[in-house]
Amino acid sequence: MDYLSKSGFNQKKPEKMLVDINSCFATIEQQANPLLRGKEVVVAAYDGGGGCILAASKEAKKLGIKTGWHIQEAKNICPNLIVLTPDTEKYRFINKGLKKILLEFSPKVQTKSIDEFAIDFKNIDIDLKKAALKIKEKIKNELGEWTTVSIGIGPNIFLAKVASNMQKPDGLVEINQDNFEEIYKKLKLTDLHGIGNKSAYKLEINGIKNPTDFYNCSQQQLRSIFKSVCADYWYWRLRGYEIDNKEQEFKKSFSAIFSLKNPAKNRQELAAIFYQLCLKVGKRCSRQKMGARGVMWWGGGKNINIKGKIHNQEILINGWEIFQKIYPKIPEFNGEIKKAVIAIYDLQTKAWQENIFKEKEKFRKETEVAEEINRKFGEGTIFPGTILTVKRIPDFIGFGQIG
Amino acid sequence: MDFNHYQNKIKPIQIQWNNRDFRIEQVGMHHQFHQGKRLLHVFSVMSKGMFFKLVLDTENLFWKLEEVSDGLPE
Repeated sequence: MDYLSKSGFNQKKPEKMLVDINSCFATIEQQANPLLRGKEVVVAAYDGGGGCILAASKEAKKLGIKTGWHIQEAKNICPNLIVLTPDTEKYRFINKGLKKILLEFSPKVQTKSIDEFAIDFKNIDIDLKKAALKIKEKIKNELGEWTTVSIGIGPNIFLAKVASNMQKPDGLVEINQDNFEEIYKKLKLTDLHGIGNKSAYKLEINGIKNPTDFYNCSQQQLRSIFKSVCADYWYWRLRGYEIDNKEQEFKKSFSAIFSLKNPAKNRQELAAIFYQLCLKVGKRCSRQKMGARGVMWWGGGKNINIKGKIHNQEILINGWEIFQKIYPKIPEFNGEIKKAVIAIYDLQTKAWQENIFKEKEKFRKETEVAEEINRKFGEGTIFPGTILTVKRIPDFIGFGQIG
Repeated sequence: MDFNHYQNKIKPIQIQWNNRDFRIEQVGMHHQFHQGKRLLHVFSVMSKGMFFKLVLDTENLFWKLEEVSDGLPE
Protein backbone atom coordinates (compact mmCIF):
# COMPACT_ATOMS: atom_id res chain seq x y z
CA MET A 1 0.00 0.00 0.00
CA ASP A 2 3.02 2.28 -0.43
CA TYR A 3 1.20 3.99 -3.29
CA LEU A 4 -1.39 5.60 -1.02
CA SER A 5 0.88 8.56 -0.35
CA LYS A 6 1.52 9.15 -4.08
CA SER A 7 -0.63 10.94 -6.61
CA GLY A 8 1.20 10.57 -9.93
CA PHE A 9 1.49 7.68 -12.35
CA ASN A 10 3.32 4.54 -11.17
CA GLN A 11 7.03 5.06 -11.93
CA LYS A 12 7.91 1.35 -11.85
CA LYS A 13 8.66 -0.64 -14.99
CA PRO A 14 5.51 -2.46 -16.23
CA GLU A 15 5.40 -6.01 -14.94
CA LYS A 16 1.89 -7.20 -15.77
CA MET A 17 0.77 -8.81 -19.00
CA LEU A 18 -2.66 -9.76 -20.28
CA VAL A 19 -3.03 -12.34 -23.05
CA ASP A 20 -6.33 -12.52 -24.87
CA ILE A 21 -7.17 -15.03 -27.64
CA ASN A 22 -8.68 -13.10 -30.55
CA SER A 23 -12.29 -14.07 -31.33
CA CYS A 24 -11.59 -17.14 -29.18
CA PHE A 25 -14.20 -19.76 -30.10
CA ALA A 26 -14.37 -18.73 -33.76
CA THR A 27 -10.57 -18.65 -34.13
CA ILE A 28 -10.25 -22.11 -32.57
CA GLU A 29 -12.87 -23.45 -34.98
CA GLN A 30 -10.94 -21.92 -37.89
CA GLN A 31 -7.74 -23.43 -36.51
CA ALA A 32 -9.34 -26.88 -36.40
CA ASN A 33 -11.00 -26.61 -39.80
CA PRO A 34 -8.76 -24.92 -42.38
CA LEU A 35 -11.70 -24.67 -44.79
CA LEU A 36 -13.26 -22.04 -42.51
CA ARG A 37 -10.24 -19.74 -42.55
CA GLY A 38 -10.83 -16.38 -44.16
CA LYS A 39 -14.60 -16.89 -43.98
CA GLU A 40 -17.30 -15.23 -41.91
CA VAL A 41 -17.83 -17.69 -39.05
CA VAL A 42 -19.73 -17.33 -35.80
CA VAL A 43 -20.09 -19.66 -32.85
CA ALA A 44 -23.56 -19.38 -31.37
CA ALA A 45 -25.38 -20.89 -28.40
CA TYR A 46 -27.50 -22.79 -30.94
CA ASP A 47 -27.85 -22.63 -34.71
CA GLY A 48 -31.44 -21.34 -34.98
CA GLY A 49 -32.17 -17.72 -35.97
CA GLY A 50 -32.63 -16.71 -32.33
CA GLY A 51 -29.32 -18.23 -31.21
CA CYS A 52 -27.05 -15.77 -29.47
CA ILE A 53 -23.59 -15.22 -30.99
CA LEU A 54 -20.81 -16.12 -28.55
CA ALA A 55 -17.89 -15.34 -30.85
CA ALA A 56 -17.45 -13.93 -34.34
CA SER A 57 -14.39 -14.50 -36.54
CA LYS A 58 -12.28 -11.48 -37.47
CA GLU A 59 -13.78 -11.65 -40.99
CA ALA A 60 -17.31 -11.49 -39.53
CA LYS A 61 -16.27 -8.67 -37.20
CA LYS A 62 -15.07 -6.66 -40.19
CA LEU A 63 -18.68 -6.66 -41.43
CA GLY A 64 -19.81 -5.29 -38.07
CA ILE A 65 -21.11 -8.56 -36.61
CA LYS A 66 -20.80 -8.52 -32.86
CA THR A 67 -20.92 -10.91 -29.92
CA GLY A 68 -24.37 -10.95 -28.35
CA TRP A 69 -26.28 -10.50 -31.62
CA HIS A 70 -28.90 -12.98 -32.75
CA ILE A 71 -27.96 -15.12 -35.73
CA GLN A 72 -30.77 -13.69 -37.82
CA GLU A 73 -29.44 -10.14 -37.33
CA ALA A 74 -26.00 -11.28 -38.47
CA LYS A 75 -27.42 -13.17 -41.45
CA ASN A 76 -29.17 -10.01 -42.60
CA ILE A 77 -25.71 -8.48 -43.02
CA CYS A 78 -23.94 -11.62 -44.20
CA PRO A 79 -26.23 -14.23 -45.84
CA ASN A 80 -23.26 -16.62 -46.27
CA LEU A 81 -22.48 -16.64 -42.58
CA ILE A 82 -21.24 -20.00 -41.26
CA VAL A 83 -22.84 -20.80 -37.93
CA LEU A 84 -21.30 -23.34 -35.57
CA THR A 85 -22.33 -24.52 -32.14
CA PRO A 86 -19.76 -24.62 -29.31
CA ASP A 87 -17.34 -27.51 -28.97
CA THR A 88 -16.40 -26.96 -25.35
CA GLU A 89 -13.72 -29.66 -25.13
CA LYS A 90 -11.78 -27.99 -27.94
CA TYR A 91 -11.83 -24.63 -26.17
CA ARG A 92 -10.80 -26.11 -22.82
CA PHE A 93 -7.92 -27.91 -24.53
CA ILE A 94 -6.64 -24.64 -26.04
CA ASN A 95 -7.11 -22.90 -22.69
CA LYS A 96 -4.95 -25.52 -20.97
CA GLY A 97 -2.37 -25.44 -23.78
CA LEU A 98 -2.04 -21.67 -23.59
CA LYS A 99 -1.70 -21.74 -19.81
CA LYS A 100 1.09 -24.32 -20.14
CA ILE A 101 2.96 -22.00 -22.53
CA LEU A 102 2.53 -18.99 -20.24
CA LEU A 103 3.75 -20.92 -17.20
CA GLU A 104 7.09 -21.33 -18.98
CA PHE A 105 7.53 -17.55 -18.67
CA SER A 106 6.22 -16.91 -15.16
CA PRO A 107 4.85 -19.06 -12.33
CA LYS A 108 2.18 -16.44 -11.60
CA VAL A 109 -0.44 -17.03 -14.29
CA GLN A 110 -4.03 -16.26 -13.46
CA THR A 111 -6.85 -17.63 -15.65
CA LYS A 112 -9.30 -14.77 -16.04
CA SER A 113 -11.66 -16.63 -18.37
CA ILE A 114 -11.65 -19.24 -21.13
CA ASP A 115 -9.73 -16.87 -23.44
CA GLU A 116 -7.86 -14.55 -21.11
CA PHE A 117 -4.85 -14.84 -18.82
CA ALA A 118 -3.10 -12.33 -16.56
CA ILE A 119 0.60 -12.87 -15.92
CA ASP A 120 2.64 -11.29 -13.17
CA PHE A 121 6.35 -10.83 -13.92
CA LYS A 122 7.24 -9.35 -10.53
CA ASN A 123 10.84 -10.17 -9.57
CA ILE A 124 11.48 -11.77 -12.97
CA ASP A 125 14.24 -10.15 -14.97
CA ILE A 126 12.83 -10.25 -18.47
CA ASP A 127 12.06 -7.83 -21.30
CA LEU A 128 8.27 -8.04 -21.47
CA LYS A 129 8.03 -7.05 -25.13
CA LYS A 130 10.49 -9.76 -26.13
CA ALA A 131 8.66 -12.26 -23.90
CA ALA A 132 5.37 -11.29 -25.58
CA LEU A 133 6.82 -11.94 -29.03
CA LYS A 134 8.15 -15.32 -27.87
CA ILE A 135 4.72 -16.21 -26.45
CA LYS A 136 3.12 -15.37 -29.80
CA GLU A 137 5.65 -17.53 -31.62
CA LYS A 138 5.14 -20.46 -29.24
CA ILE A 139 1.36 -20.19 -29.65
CA LYS A 140 1.73 -20.40 -33.42
CA ASN A 141 4.03 -23.43 -33.15
CA GLU A 142 2.22 -25.33 -30.45
CA LEU A 143 -1.46 -24.36 -30.71
CA GLY A 144 -1.66 -23.64 -34.41
CA GLU A 145 -0.72 -21.06 -37.00
CA TRP A 146 -4.20 -19.51 -37.15
CA THR A 147 -4.42 -18.89 -33.40
CA THR A 148 -3.57 -15.29 -32.61
CA VAL A 149 -3.55 -13.39 -29.35
CA SER A 150 -3.55 -9.75 -28.38
CA ILE A 151 -1.10 -8.95 -25.63
CA GLY A 152 -1.24 -5.95 -23.37
CA ILE A 153 1.55 -4.87 -21.04
CA GLY A 154 1.07 -2.44 -18.21
CA PRO A 155 2.00 -1.56 -14.65
CA ASN A 156 -1.24 -3.18 -13.43
CA ILE A 157 -3.66 -5.77 -14.80
CA PHE A 158 -6.27 -3.14 -15.56
CA LEU A 159 -3.98 -1.16 -17.89
CA ALA A 160 -2.64 -4.39 -19.40
CA LYS A 161 -6.25 -5.23 -20.26
CA VAL A 162 -6.84 -1.77 -21.75
CA ALA A 163 -3.64 -2.22 -23.80
CA SER A 164 -4.68 -5.68 -25.04
CA ASN A 165 -7.97 -4.23 -26.32
CA MET A 166 -6.27 -1.44 -28.27
CA GLN A 167 -4.88 -3.52 -31.10
CA LYS A 168 -6.85 -6.47 -32.42
CA PRO A 169 -6.16 -8.98 -33.82
CA ASP A 170 -2.60 -10.08 -33.03
CA GLY A 171 -1.71 -6.88 -31.17
CA LEU A 172 1.04 -5.96 -28.76
CA VAL A 173 0.69 -2.69 -26.84
CA GLU A 174 2.43 -1.43 -23.74
CA ILE A 175 1.13 1.30 -21.46
CA ASN A 176 3.77 2.87 -19.25
CA GLN A 177 4.65 6.12 -17.52
CA ASP A 178 5.97 7.62 -20.78
CA ASN A 179 2.96 7.01 -23.02
CA PHE A 180 -0.09 6.79 -20.71
CA GLU A 181 -1.15 10.42 -21.29
CA GLU A 182 -1.01 10.02 -25.04
CA ILE A 183 -2.99 6.75 -24.83
CA TYR A 184 -5.63 8.19 -22.49
CA LYS A 185 -6.21 10.96 -25.05
CA LYS A 186 -7.06 8.38 -27.72
CA LEU A 187 -9.52 6.40 -25.60
CA LYS A 188 -13.18 6.81 -24.75
CA LEU A 189 -14.49 6.27 -21.23
CA THR A 190 -16.18 3.04 -22.31
CA ASP A 191 -12.82 1.71 -23.55
CA LEU A 192 -11.86 1.38 -19.91
CA HIS A 193 -12.73 -2.10 -18.74
CA GLY A 194 -15.45 -1.77 -16.09
CA ILE A 195 -16.93 1.48 -17.41
CA GLY A 196 -20.18 0.72 -19.19
CA ASN A 197 -22.64 3.15 -20.70
CA LYS A 198 -24.29 3.86 -17.35
CA SER A 199 -21.04 4.66 -15.55
CA ALA A 200 -19.84 6.72 -18.52
CA TYR A 201 -23.05 8.76 -18.37
CA LYS A 202 -22.62 9.27 -14.62
CA LEU A 203 -19.07 10.51 -15.18
CA GLU A 204 -20.04 12.72 -18.11
CA ILE A 205 -22.75 14.56 -16.22
CA ASN A 206 -20.09 15.32 -13.62
CA GLY A 207 -17.83 16.86 -16.23
CA ILE A 208 -15.57 13.85 -16.86
CA LYS A 209 -15.74 13.41 -20.60
CA ASN A 210 -12.74 11.17 -21.32
CA PRO A 211 -10.03 9.09 -19.61
CA THR A 212 -7.73 12.14 -19.40
CA ASP A 213 -10.39 14.03 -17.37
CA PHE A 214 -10.91 10.86 -15.34
CA TYR A 215 -7.18 10.66 -14.57
CA ASN A 216 -6.97 14.33 -13.65
CA CYS A 217 -9.90 14.09 -11.27
CA SER A 218 -9.03 14.33 -7.58
CA GLN A 219 -9.80 11.53 -5.14
CA GLN A 220 -12.33 13.81 -3.38
CA GLN A 221 -14.18 14.53 -6.63
CA LEU A 222 -14.32 10.84 -7.48
CA ARG A 223 -15.63 10.01 -4.02
CA SER A 224 -18.46 12.49 -4.46
CA ILE A 225 -19.38 10.88 -7.80
CA PHE A 226 -19.09 7.17 -6.92
CA LYS A 227 -20.02 7.48 -3.24
CA SER A 228 -18.21 4.22 -2.54
CA VAL A 229 -14.78 2.66 -2.30
CA CYS A 230 -14.88 2.32 -6.11
CA ALA A 231 -13.75 5.94 -6.29
CA ASP A 232 -10.42 5.05 -4.70
CA TYR A 233 -10.11 1.94 -6.83
CA TRP A 234 -10.48 3.99 -10.04
CA TYR A 235 -8.08 6.62 -8.78
CA TRP A 236 -5.31 4.04 -8.26
CA ARG A 237 -6.15 1.91 -11.30
CA LEU A 238 -5.73 4.86 -13.66
CA ARG A 239 -2.38 5.66 -12.05
CA GLY A 240 -1.10 2.17 -12.74
CA TYR A 241 -1.16 0.80 -9.20
CA GLU A 242 -2.30 -2.77 -8.71
CA ILE A 243 -5.58 -3.25 -6.89
CA ASP A 244 -7.19 -5.97 -9.04
CA ASN A 245 -4.62 -8.69 -8.56
CA LYS A 246 -6.39 -10.59 -5.84
CA GLU A 247 -7.86 -13.86 -7.00
CA GLN A 248 -11.20 -13.85 -5.28
CA GLU A 249 -10.70 -16.46 -2.59
CA PHE A 250 -14.31 -17.44 -2.23
CA LYS A 251 -17.15 -16.57 -4.53
CA LYS A 252 -20.35 -15.38 -2.94
CA SER A 253 -22.65 -16.97 -5.49
CA PHE A 254 -22.69 -19.10 -8.62
CA SER A 255 -25.09 -19.10 -11.50
CA ALA A 256 -25.61 -20.98 -14.73
CA ILE A 257 -27.78 -19.94 -17.64
CA PHE A 258 -28.84 -21.82 -20.74
CA SER A 259 -30.63 -20.67 -23.89
CA LEU A 260 -32.58 -23.49 -25.46
CA LYS A 261 -32.71 -24.31 -29.12
CA ASN A 262 -35.71 -26.55 -28.51
CA PRO A 263 -37.87 -24.83 -25.90
CA ALA A 264 -39.04 -26.80 -22.86
CA LYS A 265 -42.74 -27.48 -23.30
CA ASN A 266 -43.59 -29.26 -20.08
CA ARG A 267 -42.54 -29.65 -16.47
CA GLN A 268 -40.40 -32.72 -17.13
CA GLU A 269 -38.39 -31.03 -19.88
CA LEU A 270 -37.80 -27.95 -17.76
CA ALA A 271 -36.82 -30.15 -14.80
CA ALA A 272 -34.17 -31.87 -16.95
CA ILE A 273 -32.65 -28.51 -17.84
CA PHE A 274 -32.70 -27.33 -14.25
CA TYR A 275 -31.05 -30.61 -13.26
CA GLN A 276 -28.12 -29.99 -15.63
CA LEU A 277 -27.79 -26.42 -14.41
CA CYS A 278 -27.93 -27.60 -10.77
CA LEU A 279 -25.08 -30.03 -11.45
CA LYS A 280 -23.07 -27.23 -13.04
CA VAL A 281 -23.42 -24.79 -10.14
CA GLY A 282 -23.10 -27.61 -7.60
CA LYS A 283 -19.78 -28.66 -9.14
CA ARG A 284 -18.40 -25.12 -9.14
CA CYS A 285 -19.44 -24.72 -5.53
CA SER A 286 -17.93 -28.07 -4.49
CA ARG A 287 -14.63 -27.09 -6.11
CA GLN A 288 -14.19 -24.37 -3.52
CA LYS A 289 -15.34 -26.82 -0.82
CA MET A 290 -18.55 -24.99 -0.10
CA GLY A 291 -22.25 -25.65 -0.01
CA ALA A 292 -25.19 -23.33 -0.60
CA ARG A 293 -28.14 -22.32 1.51
CA GLY A 294 -30.01 -20.27 -1.06
CA VAL A 295 -31.22 -21.34 -4.49
CA MET A 296 -32.96 -19.22 -7.07
CA TRP A 297 -34.40 -20.48 -10.35
CA TRP A 298 -35.96 -18.86 -13.36
CA GLY A 299 -37.36 -20.11 -16.64
CA GLY A 300 -38.72 -17.72 -19.19
CA GLY A 301 -40.13 -17.49 -22.67
CA LYS A 302 -42.81 -15.67 -24.58
CA ASN A 303 -45.56 -14.75 -22.11
CA ILE A 304 -44.26 -17.20 -19.55
CA ASN A 305 -42.18 -16.69 -16.47
CA ILE A 306 -41.49 -19.37 -13.90
CA LYS A 307 -39.39 -18.42 -10.95
CA GLY A 308 -38.83 -19.13 -7.32
CA LYS A 309 -36.30 -19.23 -4.56
CA ILE A 310 -35.68 -21.13 -1.39
CA HIS A 311 -33.49 -20.47 1.56
CA ASN A 312 -32.59 -23.69 3.25
CA GLN A 313 -31.65 -24.12 6.87
CA GLU A 314 -29.16 -26.84 6.00
CA ILE A 315 -26.35 -26.52 3.51
CA LEU A 316 -26.98 -28.11 0.12
CA ILE A 317 -23.76 -29.83 -0.83
CA ASN A 318 -24.14 -30.80 -4.46
CA GLY A 319 -26.20 -30.45 -7.62
CA TRP A 320 -28.33 -33.46 -6.77
CA GLU A 321 -29.37 -32.01 -3.47
CA ILE A 322 -30.07 -28.62 -5.02
CA PHE A 323 -32.20 -30.29 -7.69
CA GLN A 324 -34.01 -32.40 -5.09
CA LYS A 325 -35.05 -29.20 -3.31
CA ILE A 326 -36.34 -27.36 -6.35
CA TYR A 327 -37.93 -30.25 -8.25
CA PRO A 328 -41.20 -30.33 -6.25
CA LYS A 329 -41.55 -26.58 -6.74
CA ILE A 330 -41.44 -26.62 -10.54
CA PRO A 331 -45.05 -26.11 -11.64
CA GLU A 332 -46.91 -27.58 -14.62
CA PHE A 333 -47.18 -24.93 -17.33
CA ASN A 334 -48.46 -24.17 -20.81
CA GLY A 335 -46.08 -22.43 -23.13
CA GLU A 336 -42.46 -22.56 -24.20
CA ILE A 337 -39.49 -21.88 -21.94
CA LYS A 338 -36.50 -20.61 -23.93
CA LYS A 339 -34.08 -19.64 -21.22
CA ALA A 340 -33.32 -21.17 -17.83
CA VAL A 341 -31.20 -19.95 -14.96
CA ILE A 342 -30.11 -21.46 -11.65
CA ALA A 343 -28.27 -19.39 -9.07
CA ILE A 344 -27.01 -20.43 -5.67
CA TYR A 345 -26.10 -17.99 -2.94
CA ASP A 346 -25.38 -17.75 0.77
CA LEU A 347 -22.45 -20.11 0.32
CA GLN A 348 -21.04 -21.73 3.43
CA THR A 349 -18.01 -23.91 4.04
CA LYS A 350 -18.77 -27.60 4.17
CA ALA A 351 -17.89 -27.89 7.84
CA TRP A 352 -21.49 -28.69 8.66
CA GLN A 353 -22.61 -30.48 11.78
CA GLU A 354 -23.09 -34.21 11.58
CA ASN A 355 -26.62 -34.73 10.47
CA ILE A 356 -28.73 -36.46 13.06
CA PHE A 357 -31.09 -37.85 10.45
CA LYS A 358 -29.57 -40.97 8.97
CA GLU A 359 -31.76 -40.81 5.87
CA LYS A 360 -30.26 -37.46 4.91
CA GLU A 361 -26.77 -38.75 5.46
CA LYS A 362 -27.56 -41.75 3.27
CA PHE A 363 -28.70 -39.46 0.45
CA ARG A 364 -25.49 -37.47 0.66
CA LYS A 365 -23.37 -40.59 0.46
CA GLU A 366 -25.42 -41.97 -2.44
CA THR A 367 -25.08 -38.78 -4.46
CA GLU A 368 -21.36 -38.61 -3.78
CA VAL A 369 -21.04 -42.14 -5.16
CA ALA A 370 -23.20 -41.19 -8.17
CA GLU A 371 -20.94 -38.20 -8.85
CA GLU A 372 -17.87 -40.42 -8.60
CA ILE A 373 -19.40 -42.87 -11.10
CA ASN A 374 -20.23 -39.99 -13.45
CA ARG A 375 -16.67 -38.71 -13.17
CA LYS A 376 -15.33 -42.16 -14.02
CA PHE A 377 -17.74 -43.21 -16.76
CA GLY A 378 -18.88 -39.85 -18.10
CA GLU A 379 -21.54 -37.30 -17.21
CA GLY A 380 -25.07 -38.65 -17.38
CA THR A 381 -24.20 -42.28 -16.59
CA ILE A 382 -26.34 -41.95 -13.47
CA PHE A 383 -29.10 -39.35 -13.28
CA PRO A 384 -32.38 -38.90 -11.39
CA GLY A 385 -35.26 -41.08 -12.57
CA THR A 386 -37.49 -37.99 -12.60
CA ILE A 387 -35.87 -36.86 -15.87
CA LEU A 388 -35.55 -40.31 -17.42
CA THR A 389 -37.66 -39.51 -20.48
CA VAL A 390 -35.93 -36.28 -21.41
CA LYS A 391 -32.89 -35.67 -23.60
CA ARG A 392 -29.86 -34.10 -21.95
CA ILE A 393 -28.73 -30.58 -22.77
CA PRO A 394 -25.22 -30.18 -24.20
CA ASP A 395 -22.20 -29.04 -22.24
CA PHE A 396 -21.59 -25.29 -22.32
CA ILE A 397 -19.15 -22.65 -21.13
CA GLY A 398 -20.48 -19.53 -19.52
CA PHE A 399 -18.76 -16.17 -19.80
CA GLY A 400 -15.91 -15.89 -17.37
CA GLN A 401 -15.85 -19.63 -16.69
CA ILE A 402 -13.77 -22.52 -17.88
CA GLY A 403 -15.46 -25.47 -16.24
CA MET B 1 -2.10 -44.00 -38.98
CA ASP B 2 1.44 -42.94 -38.24
CA PHE B 3 3.02 -43.20 -34.79
CA ASN B 4 6.20 -41.27 -34.09
CA HIS B 5 7.78 -42.88 -31.05
CA TYR B 6 10.45 -40.18 -30.79
CA GLN B 7 7.87 -37.48 -30.28
CA ASN B 8 5.22 -39.83 -28.89
CA LYS B 9 2.74 -38.51 -31.44
CA ILE B 10 0.12 -40.17 -33.58
CA LYS B 11 -1.24 -38.84 -36.83
CA PRO B 12 -3.89 -40.20 -39.21
CA ILE B 13 -2.49 -40.68 -42.73
CA GLN B 14 -5.42 -41.79 -44.82
CA ILE B 15 -9.12 -42.44 -44.45
CA GLN B 16 -11.64 -44.21 -46.59
CA TRP B 17 -15.06 -42.63 -46.82
CA ASN B 18 -17.88 -43.25 -49.29
CA ASN B 19 -15.65 -45.76 -51.13
CA ARG B 20 -13.05 -43.08 -51.73
CA ASP B 21 -9.58 -42.77 -50.30
CA PHE B 22 -8.65 -39.47 -48.73
CA ARG B 23 -5.00 -38.86 -47.95
CA ILE B 24 -4.77 -36.42 -45.04
CA GLU B 25 -3.27 -33.15 -46.28
CA GLN B 26 -3.44 -31.10 -43.11
CA VAL B 27 -4.18 -31.70 -39.44
CA GLY B 28 -5.85 -28.49 -38.26
CA MET B 29 -5.96 -29.54 -34.65
CA HIS B 30 -5.37 -32.58 -32.49
CA HIS B 31 -6.93 -32.37 -29.08
CA GLN B 32 -7.81 -34.83 -26.36
CA PHE B 33 -10.40 -35.07 -23.65
CA HIS B 34 -11.71 -37.51 -21.10
CA GLN B 35 -15.20 -38.93 -21.12
CA GLY B 36 -15.20 -40.28 -17.62
CA LYS B 37 -11.94 -42.25 -17.52
CA ARG B 38 -12.02 -42.91 -21.28
CA LEU B 39 -9.43 -40.84 -23.18
CA LEU B 40 -10.49 -39.67 -26.63
CA HIS B 41 -8.20 -38.18 -29.26
CA VAL B 42 -9.86 -35.86 -31.75
CA PHE B 43 -8.22 -35.10 -35.11
CA SER B 44 -9.61 -32.26 -37.18
CA VAL B 45 -8.20 -32.96 -40.64
CA MET B 46 -8.52 -31.81 -44.23
CA SER B 47 -8.26 -33.71 -47.50
CA LYS B 48 -9.32 -32.94 -51.07
CA GLY B 49 -11.28 -29.87 -50.01
CA MET B 50 -13.20 -31.80 -47.35
CA PHE B 51 -13.04 -31.52 -43.57
CA PHE B 52 -13.22 -34.60 -41.34
CA LYS B 53 -13.41 -34.88 -37.58
CA LEU B 54 -12.01 -38.22 -36.49
CA VAL B 55 -12.21 -39.54 -32.94
CA LEU B 56 -9.95 -42.27 -31.61
CA ASP B 57 -11.25 -44.04 -28.51
CA THR B 58 -8.17 -45.22 -26.61
CA GLU B 59 -10.19 -47.76 -24.63
CA ASN B 60 -11.12 -49.94 -27.61
CA LEU B 61 -8.91 -48.31 -30.31
CA PHE B 62 -11.96 -47.70 -32.51
CA TRP B 63 -11.97 -44.75 -34.88
CA LYS B 64 -15.18 -42.82 -35.40
CA LEU B 65 -15.93 -40.28 -38.12
CA GLU B 66 -17.88 -37.63 -36.26
CA GLU B 67 -18.19 -34.84 -38.78
CA VAL B 68 -17.75 -34.24 -42.52
CA SER B 69 -18.08 -30.83 -44.12
CA ASP B 70 -17.11 -28.90 -47.20
CA GLY B 71 -16.63 -25.62 -45.30
CA LEU B 72 -19.57 -23.93 -46.99
CA PRO B 73 -22.59 -22.41 -45.24
CA GLU B 74 -25.63 -24.69 -45.03
